[in-house]
Amino acid sequence: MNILFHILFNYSIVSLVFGVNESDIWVIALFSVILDFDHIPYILKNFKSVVRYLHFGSESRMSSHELIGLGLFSLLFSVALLVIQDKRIVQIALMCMVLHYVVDFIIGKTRPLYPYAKTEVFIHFYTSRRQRFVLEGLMTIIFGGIFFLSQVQR
Amino acid sequence: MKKPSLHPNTIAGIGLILTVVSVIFYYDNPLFFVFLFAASLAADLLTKKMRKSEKYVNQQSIKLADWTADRLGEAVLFSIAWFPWLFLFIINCFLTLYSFLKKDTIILPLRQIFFVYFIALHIFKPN
Repeated sequence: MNILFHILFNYSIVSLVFGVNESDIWVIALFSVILDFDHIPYILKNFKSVVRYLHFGSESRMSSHELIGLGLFSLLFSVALLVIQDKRIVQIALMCMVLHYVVDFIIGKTRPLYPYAKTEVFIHFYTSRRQRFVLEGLMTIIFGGIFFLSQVQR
Repeated sequence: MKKPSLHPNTIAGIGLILTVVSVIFYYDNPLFFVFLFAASLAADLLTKKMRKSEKYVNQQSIKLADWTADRLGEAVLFSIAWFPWLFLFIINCFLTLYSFLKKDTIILPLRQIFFVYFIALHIFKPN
């Protein structure tokens, strides 16, 4: 899923669960996109095909983007929750990261056992790449609208 | 006429979406949270039943999708109700990897335990 959608979707969910103030937005944005940094080496290596097809599959995801990464990041966050006094902000960061995994799992193709196995998993919410683009665009617009309305109401 | 059938992975995905929606109500409306969370557990049961049917029984990717959806559901839930559940979730994450690679099943039913705990907590909550 695109970076913008991750930020907008996580903002909506976090604001409904915890409520957000202005300083939280940077935390939400950072922890919504931080997982996608692992795509950079793949994009640099396959720049032409990524630009041509506007798509990179599950092979662009490193182990940090899969189940083992989720376990290790959760371990880091659980230590942070024990050490840091402002538990709310750690919980917001953790939730943003977890929701990133959830969205990628629901929308794209993933390899949860990577690097131990390359078995690919797909949820079958759409059947063609065109449907995926439409779904992604539509969802981004909807959550963009929610974000815009929540900012207007402030 | 042929009945339309959903893929077990799609049902696992719906269950996961229900978990995400349920946590929205975790603090403000415990009753609605319980209702939606129960629906997500029901979707999970249905997925498990479907993947053990003749049509899907030998498909490893379906089992993997089911287990991954379970772990992600736990992660969403325990990012809110973190103590001591987040620690148990981490153990469960590595148990899932171990179970799949060793072709064994040693996984804690954490969401089901949490569901019972949450209801008990609200029934026996002191006024």
